[in-house]
Amino acid sequence: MHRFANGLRERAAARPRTLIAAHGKVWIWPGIALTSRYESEIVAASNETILFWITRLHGPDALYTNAVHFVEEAARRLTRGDEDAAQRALDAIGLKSLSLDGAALMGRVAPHLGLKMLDLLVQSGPRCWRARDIDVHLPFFARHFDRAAPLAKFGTFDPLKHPRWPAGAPDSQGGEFADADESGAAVIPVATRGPKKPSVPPEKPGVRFVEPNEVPDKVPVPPPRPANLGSTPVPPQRPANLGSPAAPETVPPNAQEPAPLEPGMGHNGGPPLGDPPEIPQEELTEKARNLFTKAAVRWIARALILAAAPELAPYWLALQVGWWVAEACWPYIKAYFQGPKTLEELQADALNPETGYDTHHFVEKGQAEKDGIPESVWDGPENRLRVPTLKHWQITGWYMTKNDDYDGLSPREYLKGKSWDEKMRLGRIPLVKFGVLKP
Amino acid sequence: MTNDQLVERFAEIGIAQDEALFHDQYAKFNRLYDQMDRTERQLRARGPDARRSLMRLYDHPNLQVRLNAAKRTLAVAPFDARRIIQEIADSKLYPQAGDAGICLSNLDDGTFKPK
Repeated sequence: MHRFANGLRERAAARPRTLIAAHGKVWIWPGIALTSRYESEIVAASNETILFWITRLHGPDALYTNAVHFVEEAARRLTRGDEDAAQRALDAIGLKSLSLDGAALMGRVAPHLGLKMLDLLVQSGPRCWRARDIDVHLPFFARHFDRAAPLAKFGTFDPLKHPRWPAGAPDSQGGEFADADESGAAVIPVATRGPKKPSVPPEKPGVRFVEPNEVPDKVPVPPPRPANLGSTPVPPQRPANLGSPAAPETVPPNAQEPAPLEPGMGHNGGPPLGDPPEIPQEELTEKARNLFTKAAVRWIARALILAAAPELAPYWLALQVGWWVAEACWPYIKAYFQGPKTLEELQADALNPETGYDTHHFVEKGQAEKDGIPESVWDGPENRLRVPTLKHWQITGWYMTKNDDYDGLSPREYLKGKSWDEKMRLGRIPLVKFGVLKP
Repeated sequence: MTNDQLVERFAEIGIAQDEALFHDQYAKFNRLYDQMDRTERQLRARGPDARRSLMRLYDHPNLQVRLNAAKRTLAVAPFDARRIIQEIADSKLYPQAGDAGICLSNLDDGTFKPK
């Protein structure tokens, strides 16, 4: 009986997995720590960090698991020195298969770091990333990969278990695994697949391990998820003095500020949300880029108040890792959703220009010049604030458009001839009301 | 034009203003503002009830339309109109939320006196 139990444990221990508890830490493949030691306690990384790394390999479906809870539980068990119990907590998440994108990513990361892939199942589903999207991830993995990670514990890829059709096989299936069985099961156990190619080409999307550099250039962006798949990833709740590995954010930081509203006519949420703006797969002109960025921001802002987080989280992540959009649009979107800051913080930020932000003059430059105010005053450090670019545009629009509040004048016209102090007083109000400056 | 037609026109102008703001077309927004002003003045000339017919736009799905309607009915339905403006400010859907928040400040400090 003991021998049987030991055999089970050994087989379970030998099973390849992307999450392991070893050497006093929780690791995700290829060797990225999801915990850190704080004095005598093992503490899990932030929710965003955990979900970021897990969704890289297991796809957005991993957002709807209890991954964060079980990583935190594993950290607690590691604190008690019980590595086996920690591993059981990690196994309880149930992440037994890679997403198609995750498999492609693993196929690219492994040779990049001189490692082998894992012998894991691959889940069928839509592809979201192109080869260039995958490449965006490589520096992340290289930066956070710890060479001291216990690599053997993850398991390895056994090519003997993964027979492929030879290169040059008919229907361009060379190198692929066969399709799912007759039941159309979504998960394809590649390790048990037979070596014969089906005589009729499969109608369902093929499932395979993707070789490095094999990702097609054009893949469709998946449709948004239905709204009933789970709850919003919880914003981070970590001790303020604990660092965490840098990772893209999973939800906008002020995601819970607006009051949740029901969608539909007659509510402040306006009409039903609709699909998010399609993420560009090609480089856009500056004008088109700006339109996409504004549309994405508008959709995200509405999704937040419509409590449509199941659709929001994958979109939010996709914006951070998509080729071109991550560099050209994401900084503006991220900046837009930063919370309000104090005046001193905005003034200090102005000394450090950053993509996604503009320098805003508390009292508008044009007005100050017209009023004969010296440049040393209007362009002085007290009058210069760093504000999110898209908020800056909105505030500028407010200044330039006619308004009932000022008897049909635009605020800019209204401010003509007003004193410097009055301009300073009025200049503060839009910054507060547009969520840039703390009241 | 009937009152209903004027209210419909008022809403159409608000939707066009929203589009103009999204595309940073401020001159177009201002032209539309003048059209909105003329439309609302026609209603105002027909008495308080005609003016209050704009209150039916408090539930309009477009935020700019809702904000315009609330601002233009502050004088005849101050409590309800202010509630709508407060809701828009609380929504954090900018730029309308920003304008609504500033409007509340201007009402409180007397900068804005609805007529």
